[in-house]
Amino acid sequence: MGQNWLPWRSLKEKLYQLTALSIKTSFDANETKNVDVCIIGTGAGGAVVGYHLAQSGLKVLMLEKGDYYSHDQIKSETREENLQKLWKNRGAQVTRLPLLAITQGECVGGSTIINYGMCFRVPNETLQIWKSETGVEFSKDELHNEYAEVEKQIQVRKITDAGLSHEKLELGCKKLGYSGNWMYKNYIADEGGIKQNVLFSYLEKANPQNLEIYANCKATKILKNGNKISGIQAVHTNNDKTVTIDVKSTIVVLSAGTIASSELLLQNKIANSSGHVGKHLSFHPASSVIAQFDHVINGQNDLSMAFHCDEFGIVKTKKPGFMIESVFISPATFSTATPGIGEENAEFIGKYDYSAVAGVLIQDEANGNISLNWSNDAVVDYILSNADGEKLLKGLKTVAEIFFAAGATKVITGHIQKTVLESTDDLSLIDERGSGLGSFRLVSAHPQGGNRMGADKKTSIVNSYCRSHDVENLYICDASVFPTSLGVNPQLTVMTIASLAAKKILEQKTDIFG
Amino acid sequence: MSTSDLIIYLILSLLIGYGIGFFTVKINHLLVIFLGKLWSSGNAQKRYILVGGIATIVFGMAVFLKTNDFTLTILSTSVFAILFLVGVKHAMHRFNQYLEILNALIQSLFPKKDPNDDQHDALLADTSKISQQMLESMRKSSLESLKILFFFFDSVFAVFLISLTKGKFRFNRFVHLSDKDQVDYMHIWADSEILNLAPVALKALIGYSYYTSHLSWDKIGYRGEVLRRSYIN
Repeated sequence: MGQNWLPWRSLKEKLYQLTALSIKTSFDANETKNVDVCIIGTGAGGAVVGYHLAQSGLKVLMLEKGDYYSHDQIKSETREENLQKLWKNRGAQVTRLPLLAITQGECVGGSTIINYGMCFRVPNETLQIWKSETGVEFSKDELHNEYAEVEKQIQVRKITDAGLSHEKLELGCKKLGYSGNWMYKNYIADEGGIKQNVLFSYLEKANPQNLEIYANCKATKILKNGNKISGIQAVHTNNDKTVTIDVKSTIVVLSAGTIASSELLLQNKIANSSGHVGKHLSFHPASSVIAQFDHVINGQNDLSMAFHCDEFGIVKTKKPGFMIESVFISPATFSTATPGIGEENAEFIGKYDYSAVAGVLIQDEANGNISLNWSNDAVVDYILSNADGEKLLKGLKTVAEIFFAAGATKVITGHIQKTVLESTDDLSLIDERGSGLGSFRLVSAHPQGGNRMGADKKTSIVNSYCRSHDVENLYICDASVFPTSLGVNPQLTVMTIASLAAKKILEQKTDIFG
Repeated sequence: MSTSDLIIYLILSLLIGYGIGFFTVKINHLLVIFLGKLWSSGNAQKRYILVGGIATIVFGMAVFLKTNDFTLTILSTSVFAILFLVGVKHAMHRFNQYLEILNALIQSLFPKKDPNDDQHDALLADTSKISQQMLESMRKSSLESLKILFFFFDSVFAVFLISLTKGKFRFNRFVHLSDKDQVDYMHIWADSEILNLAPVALKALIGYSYYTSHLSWDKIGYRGEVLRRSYIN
């Protein structure tokens, strides 16, 4: 991935890139590494754990399947298709029945490189569900103290001056009396606002003497000895040549992200005495609503995401519902979110600068499942439940009302079948479309679950501090440990739970590492 | 054995051999989708040889039991085996034409209005390149699903049947239809409540690629900010 992406790339690889990171992206010969901690994945969970453990003096090696792209490389890139290399399967990852597109990052920094950086704490109501359903043990105070530390590290602040496209959602909510607010984001104000990611916030701040990253290395085998992992085997493929990296470590932290973490456990038949690995998957499936106005909005100059309406979310309604978030999207995504093909679709694209966009995000049931096909690759099965379909239908209808209240002249909902509303009189059309299988264009940026945490080893994979029930020296730190969907954007909670896990490991440092 | 019987047996051998060969490839692709197995071409070829061998033996035995004629059995079994091979080759060739079908789709979705518009040609070439990059990055099982979709969409069978639902008689592959008929055929799919998932999937790939290309941006006044801003700002 990205071997010759930029002219200086090959030279940089030869030099064993010595940035603030100790990172290696190319390998000529097999290697064996002995470290204290091996972390699989460098996203929101892995980076946080890696940082804390490296700062405590432990030797940490992080394995990353994707490539390394520095901020400067991303900033200097003018061809958007090259930026798609940062996405898993270039963004073309779908469930078995291709009704849901799943977006995840696949590069050093994981999804924090490609996401919009929105930060929410887990709603207390969701935390209560976790406690009652799987016996999650950490207290509200313990969690919120950790949130505060993470927020400081990643520089979370409330969004201001987001732009007109986002103000339309705010205006509509105000007119209809719906609760809403500007979201929080991890960014600094320099140079017009720089979104933070774990490369900035954690990895580049870690001691490079203690933390090494091997990019373009896919962990494939987990070797077990009794109740413990004895080693990890990773492969690096370059020009049809495969190099093997053998890692021996005292503990292993699996942070490959939802789907990939479960896939690796299933492939290696490990940590699954409960039979629950790959189960209880949720996605926050989202569909879009595009509103056209009679004046220029110029959303392409705005922030990517900014305002949210929580009137129908779990905090207000006390049960899993839906969130509405303002978002502005590229013409490529805009094309897939608008109806018609060819010329007809081009007419909608022609109104790009007159449009505002919002997404409806469902706090869905955890009824998805990951299994392996005969080639040992993960296959994701997920179908929107009837109840979730109804929530989404209501959500789309609500956003349409909000946008009309804000003065929209036309509203296009995220149905497969062309659904264009000219006024609130047309809202019944949304009901007519129904919520059956294949009714909506669905996308998920928040896959969660598959290795859920809980107190009972018969029904969960890890304990509340991410330690495997089955394997003594295995920790899983990513969104796959969430027992149910959060109901809000998960990045901050992944980091916080990983931070709690890291501190728990350090509390037992002498026992674990001697 | 009369001459007419001989001809019937040979025609049967020809049709059944070709059909089994052709559909063996198709079933293999379905297996890849549903089971994820037999991806590599080496495995696929072994499978075709196995199926071909068994089918030829079964067919030969059936002919012999029916006719008790050794010469006819040898003759019809040979025809069967050859046509099985032709069927496999033809199906493999058709499946490998998905890029040709993709390009025909791109051209019908974004037709060239001005024959001298070189920029448009460059944009379509870029769209094709980006689409191919996306296809190559997909999981193999998802790619096989799309290939089957391309294959079916393009087939004479689908063009004939689906056009007939609108009272139009077309007996040709999609890639060989006129520009006007290609657009019309696409719209029959898109306007159908049953079939419209397919054009949505194809549009998701082609439309996404078209508007990802920086060559499409001037037309819509896009300055290339959104995606980059989402990584940076």
